[in-house]
Amino acid sequence: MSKRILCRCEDVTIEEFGKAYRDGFAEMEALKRFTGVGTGFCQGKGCLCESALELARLRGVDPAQIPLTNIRPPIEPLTFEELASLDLPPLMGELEAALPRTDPEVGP
Amino acid sequence: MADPAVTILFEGQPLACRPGQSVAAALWDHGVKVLSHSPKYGRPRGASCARGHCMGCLMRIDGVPNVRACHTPVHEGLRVARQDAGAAYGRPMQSALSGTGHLLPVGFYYKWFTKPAALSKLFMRIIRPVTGIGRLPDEAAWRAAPPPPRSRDLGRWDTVVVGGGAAGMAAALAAEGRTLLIDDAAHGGGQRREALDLAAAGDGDPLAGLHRLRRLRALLHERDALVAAAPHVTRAPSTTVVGCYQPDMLLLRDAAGLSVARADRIVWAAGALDQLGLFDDHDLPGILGPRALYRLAGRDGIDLRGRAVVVWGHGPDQWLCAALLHARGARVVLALDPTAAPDENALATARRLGWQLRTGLRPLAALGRAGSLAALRFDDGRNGTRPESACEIAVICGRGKPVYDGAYQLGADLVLDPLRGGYVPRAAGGRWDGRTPAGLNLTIAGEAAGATLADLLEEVTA
Amino acid sequence: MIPLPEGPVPATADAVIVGGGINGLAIAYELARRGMKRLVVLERDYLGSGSTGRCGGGIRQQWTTAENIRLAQESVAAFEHLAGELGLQTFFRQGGYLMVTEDESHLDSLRKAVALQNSCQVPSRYLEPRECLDIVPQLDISRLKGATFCQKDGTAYPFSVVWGYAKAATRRGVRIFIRTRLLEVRHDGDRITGVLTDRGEISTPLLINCAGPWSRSLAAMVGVQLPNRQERHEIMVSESCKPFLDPMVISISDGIYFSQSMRGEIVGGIGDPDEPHWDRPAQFDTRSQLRFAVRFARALTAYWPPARKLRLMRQWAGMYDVTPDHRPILGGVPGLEGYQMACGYSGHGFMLAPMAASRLAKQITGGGPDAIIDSLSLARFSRGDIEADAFVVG
Repeated sequence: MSKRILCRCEDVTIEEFGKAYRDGFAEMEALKRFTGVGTGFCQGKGCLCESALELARLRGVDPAQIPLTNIRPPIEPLTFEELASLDLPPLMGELEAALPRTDPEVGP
Repeated sequence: MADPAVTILFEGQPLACRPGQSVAAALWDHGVKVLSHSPKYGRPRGASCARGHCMGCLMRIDGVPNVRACHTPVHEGLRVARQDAGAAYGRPMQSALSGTGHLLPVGFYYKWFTKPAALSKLFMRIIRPVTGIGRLPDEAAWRAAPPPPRSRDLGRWDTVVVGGGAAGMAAALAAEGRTLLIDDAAHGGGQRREALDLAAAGDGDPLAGLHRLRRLRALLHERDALVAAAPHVTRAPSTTVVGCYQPDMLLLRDAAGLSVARADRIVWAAGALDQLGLFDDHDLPGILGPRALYRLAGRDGIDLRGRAVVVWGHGPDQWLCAALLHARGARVVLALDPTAAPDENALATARRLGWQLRTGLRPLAALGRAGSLAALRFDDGRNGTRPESACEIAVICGRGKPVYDGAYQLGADLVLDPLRGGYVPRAAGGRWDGRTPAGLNLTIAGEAAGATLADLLEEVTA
Repeated sequence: MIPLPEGPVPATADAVIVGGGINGLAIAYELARRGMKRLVVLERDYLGSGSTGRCGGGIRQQWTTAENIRLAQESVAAFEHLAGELGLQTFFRQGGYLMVTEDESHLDSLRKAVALQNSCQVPSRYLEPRECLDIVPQLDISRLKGATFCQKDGTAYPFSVVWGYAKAATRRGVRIFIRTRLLEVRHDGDRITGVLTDRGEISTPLLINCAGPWSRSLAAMVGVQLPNRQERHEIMVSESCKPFLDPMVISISDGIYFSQSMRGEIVGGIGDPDEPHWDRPAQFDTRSQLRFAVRFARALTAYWPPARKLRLMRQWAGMYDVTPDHRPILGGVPGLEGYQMACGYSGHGFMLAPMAASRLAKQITGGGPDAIIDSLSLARFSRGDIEADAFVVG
């Protein structure tokens, strides 16, 4: 049966994405976890941008207003034995000690 | 294949293939295009991006699940088999679900059988075997295999440039201090360099009338030579950035394993990904983007002789794909998007080389047979007519989607801009040049910053 | 179900709950269920974005203090029916918790813990290392000294639980404002009178602090000093495989934990003793570190060697809100009217929240004193009445 697939990894069609939106999963963070877009093997390389554009269309807003969902490391899947082969890197704080840094704004 | 040197076992059946090919390409040459089935609807999938980003080619290779067949070179005796994603209760069940999508609405597993508790528990037990893609690795694969080589520390650099295309090479040449230039291609010049070289060597000199592509080729060769001669630049060929960690750390992978590099300044010029559009059944095996074609028809050298290939789209990549396919012996059908504006020389080249030319089309649907592509159906802007073009491969040459993951992870401020193809630097003018909140000097350049190949060519011509 | 913020916040509310994680939403739901009206939940980002959505989803009853055991036991009982109550699957699955140690000196406390747990009717048992193989066949037991196991422990999917509470609370009239920031708390001497948000002012007699790692700074806004400190912890998921692992495996020697989600991924993390602690939100840092991935990979492949060939897909970090005795702080503060809190869960808010919320809501709505809440009040620290829970992992 013919389908317009939005996210290949999780088999989410564009119609299903719209249905989840109408079900009340109105923002990207919830849509991502409810439908699965962006959480499969490609980690969103194939669908996050497309999904955010579709959400902007559904909501009738400028795509720039859809907050960017977190893209978490790594960029490609890494086997645990590869990772275990690495020397233990220093803590991020130690790495940053030499670099100037502004704290991101955070509050309750 | 004239002199096959390597035999692999595909689901127990020996297949002869060329050394150096990827498993996906070897299977393609033997007519195996369906490499996996999607988890929910059991849809056939194949090597689609050929760059290790999609899941179309995840297979069980040498007893290890979820291995990317497009990124795994063949070796003697390699065992490869399709996996049974989702099919805990058989593929017929999946097909039934696919036909009755409305009975299995998205997120159904969140909503069904929430009570009573016993039914909810039973439901968990029923759906659990359906989840997951591969089965655990064979014991021999994890117990006996030697551990990977110890990682290497490449140390600290003044500049690391990610991406060896036109933008990356320019950045490396302009950089000050010790500079590391990383690219996943084996040669300088990025992914289009090899495609251009192969196209130029084709019968009838396909690039002869394609002036912009000839200029691009000359430019890539020239920059490549300058980079090779630049004493401050060290190359890391055949190397992929597999992770970016703040404030300034890059995790790299090449044939020898992982390595770590740090830098005072990072230039993110990682290019763009193919964007196939959202027409019906665009996930059928046989539908590719230009970057996938460069890989499969280039380094992987799949057999294209006599195959009908539709190249749809607009812009320089469309013409490069057509020229490459011509050089590889395919029968080229050029289907131009209504916005395409090829010059007279390009059209003359198409006529001279016998490419079928169709204009004013947008893809509507892919039509399949036996699980892979048989034809592409178009919208020609007229009511009622839906022209089709029979083909084994369709190359969709739309706007590239900027690669942003690494730049984002390093701390760049990005914004979604469809006019620039996806997530691009927020700053006006497209470039991002400045310090991240963690204090790294970061530059985003080239296609990763939302530029297109056409933009680059204009810049060069000017 | 997950409302978008629309317009200004209401001018008045009977209670304002700060924090759209499992605690805030569960308390809002429980209060509404007990008849309270005009409830408002404020969430600075999206639902579950703070600590709930970053956690591993484990639910265990194997603790070393009676209060934690009691709360966890009640929570497990609640999780068994929660999907039906909320109208959304929680993916609660009782695959058990296998707690292992490589340290001879832990064996005594493991045995004592099992005795205490059994006396509270938690069906845990002590295992010799080789008995662990019946539960996780490919576990490398060569360095293990002992273990405990409880089949009734399990895991659930945090986002689903959060959405379920949000859905059930919304149905009962609770108004949830995501992407809304609390700017100030209004108080009139020793009485809470309202809050100022970036969507307007709300006049309210009751403020409930469910702000997780931000709870300390929120408490400071009303002059309450919490002894909590905030710790960064990282976690990851692997690629997805067919089911192979039933329980959550955790080690009290090196702090690794891992389980297999309903989607087939390994979900796990490991604590890092060298991580600095934080004491103000501006320092919270949830960026991912390569160091974590390396430490986790080393530990996972050592405990469970088949993982050598599996892949890490993504990693992220979250904050623990840790109290000196690793137990939550519940209830109010003497001398400050209209202030309640449910915080300081020390990394275990997801598993303890349903019952803590239910007890707290009962007390707030006039259900009378509650011995457990009393024993977990802030006052315990000044009374010096503290007994730390030993089994904090991750």
